[in-house]
Amino acid sequence: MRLEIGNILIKDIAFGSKTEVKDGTLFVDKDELIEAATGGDERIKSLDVYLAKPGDKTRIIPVKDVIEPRCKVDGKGNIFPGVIGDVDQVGSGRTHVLKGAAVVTTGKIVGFQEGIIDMSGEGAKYTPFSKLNNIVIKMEPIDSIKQHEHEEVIRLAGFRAANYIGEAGRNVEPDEEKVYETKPLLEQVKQYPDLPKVVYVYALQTQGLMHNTFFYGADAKKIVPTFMYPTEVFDGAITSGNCVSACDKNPSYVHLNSPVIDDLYARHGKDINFIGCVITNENVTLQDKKRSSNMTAKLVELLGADAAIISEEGFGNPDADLVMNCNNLENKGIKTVLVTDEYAGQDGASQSLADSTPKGDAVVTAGNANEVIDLPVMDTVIGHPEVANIIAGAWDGSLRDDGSIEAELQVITGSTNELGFFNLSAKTI
Amino acid sequence: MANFYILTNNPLVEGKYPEITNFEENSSVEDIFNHSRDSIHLGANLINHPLAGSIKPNQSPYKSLVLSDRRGDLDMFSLTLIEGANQVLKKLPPRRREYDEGVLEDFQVIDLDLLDSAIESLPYEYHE
Repeated sequence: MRLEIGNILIKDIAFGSKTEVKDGTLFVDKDELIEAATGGDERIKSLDVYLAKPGDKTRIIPVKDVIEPRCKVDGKGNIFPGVIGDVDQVGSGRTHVLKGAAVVTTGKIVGFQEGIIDMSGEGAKYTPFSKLNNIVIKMEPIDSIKQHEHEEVIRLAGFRAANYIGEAGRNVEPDEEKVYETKPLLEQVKQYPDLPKVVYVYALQTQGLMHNTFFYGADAKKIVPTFMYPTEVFDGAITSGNCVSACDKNPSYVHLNSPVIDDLYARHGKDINFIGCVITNENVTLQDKKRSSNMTAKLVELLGADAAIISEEGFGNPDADLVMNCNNLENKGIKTVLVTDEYAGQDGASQSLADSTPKGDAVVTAGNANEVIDLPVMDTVIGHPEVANIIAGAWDGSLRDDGSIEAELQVITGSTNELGFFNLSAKTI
Repeated sequence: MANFYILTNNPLVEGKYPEITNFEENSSVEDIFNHSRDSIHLGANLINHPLAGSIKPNQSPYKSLVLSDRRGDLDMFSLTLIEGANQVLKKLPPRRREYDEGVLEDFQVIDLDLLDSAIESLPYEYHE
């Protein structure tokens, strides 16, 4: 499967009379975007659009998802298969990306919802999304709606918005191009017979309401581990419905730009043979966890891997999946590297994970989510600032009268992302 | 008759599964952890993971655990998990704020939803 990615570099955004890209500026027809994002969904009471640019004194809270606008210009299917449009096989052909732009959705689904993006100041240093030109969708549902439907309504409005904006890149000549290719397994193994074969075990958060992830639109809670060509994610095969644990959940933007996959491709053919991904889930019952980790290990063995990278999503319960995957693979003689973040207490002295194993002797950390930070006052707040007192990693009085916030790093969207999307880490002292 | 039961302090769970719920009103998450640990010592298996989702145990005031009716040898796997969850709870700072009713209901709904996920995928031997 071969995919060409054409990046159209977006340096600025503005509202305009037509949605288009002109000399690196993305102009957005606000009315048309509102209509496209609403998509005739009668459960939406109001939907408004705001722009938040790098350096603005703007805070977005609570962030639900961040989505990169893309469009499929050649090859089967469309972006977000099974969510927007049909469920055609994606991951080959050509895809255009509005690189530097993002759709951010905000809406208070539950009272303790998390996620802050500051566009400037101290907080901006802790989120990768402060560097993007963000088109923020704020949506309120009709009064009678319950939490499950509310989550779905905001999630789908975000993908419709990103899909609409992504179309603006269809006929634009990209500024840079990248090509990714993974061949069918037996050919891929033959291509670099002397290099170690590496599989990426990509665990998806799938425990229930506000903890869901979708694969081709299917609730990944109900899948058994399966093979995925790495290029499929770049076309939106995996979409996020996860809006708990802002710091270490994987927003759809991060799936679309999966840094583990991108880095493995960068080494592909040089010092490793990257033969593909196994996606698995993080479920609630212990039997589900055992089944999925056993099947993951079986599948990775079947693929003939010498080594595997294993990532997790979330905190606590998923640590068990991470450890089970590690043990099962190592017991089959397959070397593992784990990617996670830490909850090591505000002083960093406590045990970082809820589970551990002596076999987990190669671990990459994305930082300590309990680190306390101070967020200054902003001129503009998009969303619902009152939730700052209730979110995880905040405490009563976190939101000061002047609008500044003292809280743990875990309130910041993407700060300790467990695919290593950002620049935080930790070291032993 | 089901051969498992739910230990919970979440009134929504009591409302949905009255026949199989051991409802401990006014219990804390720590109480639920400790009481399920006691049952595990008597031979019960823990069926769902004690740390639900990514919501921190010091954040949500509700916890629902599914335990088997089994009596017999100690299941070390269940014990390790519940003790590990207790360690996590002790590590995190205690919650210092009161929630309003809307927020409490949201926590109840999420706890119930994660429990529903567990009940829907109960191991075969637990189906009636």
